[in-house]
Amino acid sequence: MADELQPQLTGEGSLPPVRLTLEQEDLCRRLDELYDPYNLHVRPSNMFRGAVFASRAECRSNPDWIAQATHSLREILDPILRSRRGPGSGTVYIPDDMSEVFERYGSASMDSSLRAEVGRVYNRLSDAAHHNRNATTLPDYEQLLVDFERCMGQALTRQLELHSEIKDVLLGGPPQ
Amino acid sequence: MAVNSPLLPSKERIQKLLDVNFDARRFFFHQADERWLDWLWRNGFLDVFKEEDASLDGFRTPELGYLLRMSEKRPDIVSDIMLATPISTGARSQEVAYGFVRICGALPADQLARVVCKIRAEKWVPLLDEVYSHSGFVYEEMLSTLADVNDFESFLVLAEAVLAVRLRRETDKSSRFRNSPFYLEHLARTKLFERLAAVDGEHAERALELTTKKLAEIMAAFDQFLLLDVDFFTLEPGQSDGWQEDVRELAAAAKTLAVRLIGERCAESGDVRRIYMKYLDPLPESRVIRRLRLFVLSLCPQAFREQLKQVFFSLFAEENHYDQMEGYYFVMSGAEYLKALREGFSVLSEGDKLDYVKRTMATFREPSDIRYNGSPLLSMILPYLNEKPALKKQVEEAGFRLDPDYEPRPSIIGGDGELKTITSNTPISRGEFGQLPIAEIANRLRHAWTPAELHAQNSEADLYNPLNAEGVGSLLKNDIPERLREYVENAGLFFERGLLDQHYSYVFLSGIQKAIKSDRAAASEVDWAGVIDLLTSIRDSGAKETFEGGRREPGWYDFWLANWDAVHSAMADILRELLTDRDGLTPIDFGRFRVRILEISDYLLSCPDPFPGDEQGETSSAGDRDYSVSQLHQLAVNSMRGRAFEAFMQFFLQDRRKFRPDDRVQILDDVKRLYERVLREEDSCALMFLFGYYLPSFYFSDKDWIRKLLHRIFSQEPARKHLYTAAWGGFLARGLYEEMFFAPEIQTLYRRGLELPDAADWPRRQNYSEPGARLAQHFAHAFMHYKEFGLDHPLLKAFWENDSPTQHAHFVKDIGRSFISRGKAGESFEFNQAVKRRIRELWDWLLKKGEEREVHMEFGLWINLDKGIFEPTWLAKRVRETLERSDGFLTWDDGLVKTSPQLAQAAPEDTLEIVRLYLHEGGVRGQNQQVLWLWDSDNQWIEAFKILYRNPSTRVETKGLINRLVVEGGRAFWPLKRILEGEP
Repeated sequence: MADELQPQLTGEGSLPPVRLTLEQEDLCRRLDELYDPYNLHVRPSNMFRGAVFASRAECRSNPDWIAQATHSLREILDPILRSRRGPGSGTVYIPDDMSEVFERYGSASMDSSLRAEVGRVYNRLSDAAHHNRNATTLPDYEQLLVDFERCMGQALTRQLELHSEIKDVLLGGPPQ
Repeated sequence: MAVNSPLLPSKERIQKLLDVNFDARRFFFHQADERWLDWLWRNGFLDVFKEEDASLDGFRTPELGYLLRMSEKRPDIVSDIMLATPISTGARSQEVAYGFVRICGALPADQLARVVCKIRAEKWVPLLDEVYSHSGFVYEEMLSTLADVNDFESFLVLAEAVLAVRLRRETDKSSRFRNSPFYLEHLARTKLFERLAAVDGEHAERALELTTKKLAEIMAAFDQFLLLDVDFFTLEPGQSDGWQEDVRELAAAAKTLAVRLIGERCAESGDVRRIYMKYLDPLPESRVIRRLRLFVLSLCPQAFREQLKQVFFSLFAEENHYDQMEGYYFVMSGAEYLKALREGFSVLSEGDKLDYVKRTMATFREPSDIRYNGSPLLSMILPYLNEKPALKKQVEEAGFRLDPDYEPRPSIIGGDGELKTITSNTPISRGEFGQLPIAEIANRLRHAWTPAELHAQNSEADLYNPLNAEGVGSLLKNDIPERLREYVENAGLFFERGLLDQHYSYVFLSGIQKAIKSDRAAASEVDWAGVIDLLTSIRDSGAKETFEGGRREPGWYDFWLANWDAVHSAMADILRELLTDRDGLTPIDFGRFRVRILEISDYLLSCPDPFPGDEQGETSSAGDRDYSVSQLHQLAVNSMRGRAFEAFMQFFLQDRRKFRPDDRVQILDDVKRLYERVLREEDSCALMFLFGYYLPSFYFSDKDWIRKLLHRIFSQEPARKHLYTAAWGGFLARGLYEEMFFAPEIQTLYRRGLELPDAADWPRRQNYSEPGARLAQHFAHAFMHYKEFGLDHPLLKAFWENDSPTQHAHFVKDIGRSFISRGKAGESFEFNQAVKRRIRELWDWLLKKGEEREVHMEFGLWINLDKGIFEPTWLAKRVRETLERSDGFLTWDDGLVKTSPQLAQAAPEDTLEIVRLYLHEGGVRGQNQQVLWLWDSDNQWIEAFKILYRNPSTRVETKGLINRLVVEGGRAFWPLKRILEGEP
């Protein structure tokens, strides 16, 4: 219901920025650090914010919002998963392969199974990004976002963070 | 962000954390406290001790480390865990048992007592021997823990486990020289035996049983622990000097316990007999056990009358007659039989006593062996014989010598010793020798003191202390310095072929040489004409009729005495000593004797040794030598002709003094003729090595002359290739002379040297690096010292074009070691701007050239910022490129570690890559152990990391790198964690 007492707005307004959860903010920071050595012209955190922005309730009247949101998410993974065509090919290019990228980052747990899982998420994002050709529903999208955050969060955990977590666990004593 | 969201810990979550990687597991168990121990055990997190798990490794298994830490805080649970973990013979069990042993060392007595039976039953000591060579020290703490609380029950169980004796099948050839029969070494130093001997009365019998049983077990398994220097009557704990110490101490403990249980309780005859019959009588027969029994029986002669009678009379048993190994030797071996006889004879019946004397006299009436005649036996029972004058008279008339002071001693030490060292005796004392006129000494050497005459004076009693020529020789040698001048004046008396043994000529000559060497000032005051006359006499004799070389005629009393080869070597040594100028002193008047010395040198340089034939194989068989001929310099200076050549060199140097420095020719024709004659005839590698080694001296004395001889020294003939390589090796063993280095004929030699393969045809010369390395070092030094020898010099170009990465690596290494990283080099070598530029250009050139990995690995010694050769940014870039080519390896990293903070400050991106390449690529992944040591807190790498982490441009990647190092490298890199502390 509109506020009858408030004066009528003149001109076009813009939607406020998205507010991410603490975990999402942390993921954004890690994504930026993942690509930090490669000096990309686009920050992955902006892509992630864009995806969340595109999927907010106010934007869902846009019939292509799922494709646009998943496209942003997929773009984050493009530099490490899309076939690399070399500098100047129009695709964001980094010289290292996926393992090397995560290794430079200092990932504690990146192994073949996690790499495969990231690849599966990427494929699901690709399908949805192509104008939602696989008829992704809102619940599907929400699950996809959760899966993206979970597997990237795991891949972007560093060893010393594991140490911190272990310390926290040990501090509390064994389960009763 | 982690494996799981921050929920309350659950078994599954903890398992997931531990499964991430090995470092997570290691960190978990490194941090866990005692609150977790029971929970982890009950929930299967310590089941790795039982399961097959490839990551389990005795030294690195985090669970074992955790258990060790917890042993002080919750020893009860730790003991439960160990008791519930079966140890078998598998590799896993060996690893776990090793960890458990360390844990047991930290357990309190009550908990340790629960585990000792397990240690013994599962045979941990032999089990671990297959994997680790461990000493008894790891058990010392356990033994002391139990003994300190007087838990002797558990102590004896553990002692039995610790005293595990190797099995007979393990006593193969390789173990024949073992110092201990036990699996564990150095047991004596753990105080085990001391504590065994001191157990309380209640456990003393069990301790006696254990020690005697172990002693018998050792004797059954080994034949080298005969304790020949032990006398059980005098043996005490703590007397040994290390040799077979553990067995001696075990025997001492057994003795101490026997004294406690038997010797101090003779009145309780029934009980002492019971103890003897239970613990000593049934032991398997051996010499040591027999000697121990003799001692024990002698403790209470009355109680053991029957046993003593039996053992005394066993001497005369038919099977023991005249059979040393199984007879008298066995029965009488050591001092114990005789001492037991002294202690126990009195308890025999009168009939037995008389019978013993009669049988001794009958058995030994014709003593054939001085060590085992009857006199010592009868001396032991002298009190009895004194009571029977008639019998004593019979004994003495039969030739037996009764010595009231005779004291039996152990086999090795005693006068009746079975094993003794031979010490030469002398016919007169040193003082008396010093009073004899020289002529009288020379006379006696020819007559009364010839080796044969001296030998004839020896009786069997002198077996170990014989009169011989060695004894007389040492008298002569010691007397020479006391009256050097007199000996020199009479030197001619010390050579008379056929009449004076050559050993004495040798002793005289070597004595003179040592006297000169020890006091050159005094030697300079002596008129050496006598010695020169003597050398000339020997020369004349040898020229007339060649002296016989090689060993002396076989004859057991003199075959080891000096031969004529030794005499000739000593002649050369005297000449060298007389001609050498040291501290401005030359002992001899060179000008006066020049011609005669040259004649003697000519003669000595014709001696046959070294023999070329002996150099074909790996070892020389000539003379007394058995050293490798690959050690050419050593062979040369130990051969007759080689020693003569060294003396000739000193002659040449003395002779050159008469020339002015600017004289074109500084060598006389007669010297040249001799040099040429020897060179012409020379065909041994050892001497050709010396020709190469001393070439510079002759080169600068007359270049035109020596140029004409180079083709002979460095022969081109295929059949003399080995002689060429020997001479070339000798030449390379010396340093550089600029003028000589650039001389065309020497350059040609270097070029030819490049064509030699690295190792083939080049047997290793022990005293010097292999010639390929020496060639590279020559070039490296020339590059640094001579500006004309740059990268465009044809010879250096040829060196680098040569496909020899090993030589190239030596070149790089030598510049680093001898110049850039060497502190002293900075003082003696001037790093001017031109040299610095050349070094930088060389590094760049080699990076572009594409050398092999092993060449780039040697640049570690170049990494230096102290000498002003490199500035940090420049250096960081080259180090990075070098590491890229060496796969992250450097043979020497001190410079890199030291400069890393400066490099990080000046060139962060390059340094980050350097760190990644060196620590991660080469270190962690390449398993470069010098990287993986735990770092000290002041390690320069930590500072470098801090700098890189503070720098925004390298911050994120530094963080990533630290994490990678911790994941893969583990604890070595944990010190880096504190750099990231406070990081989200």
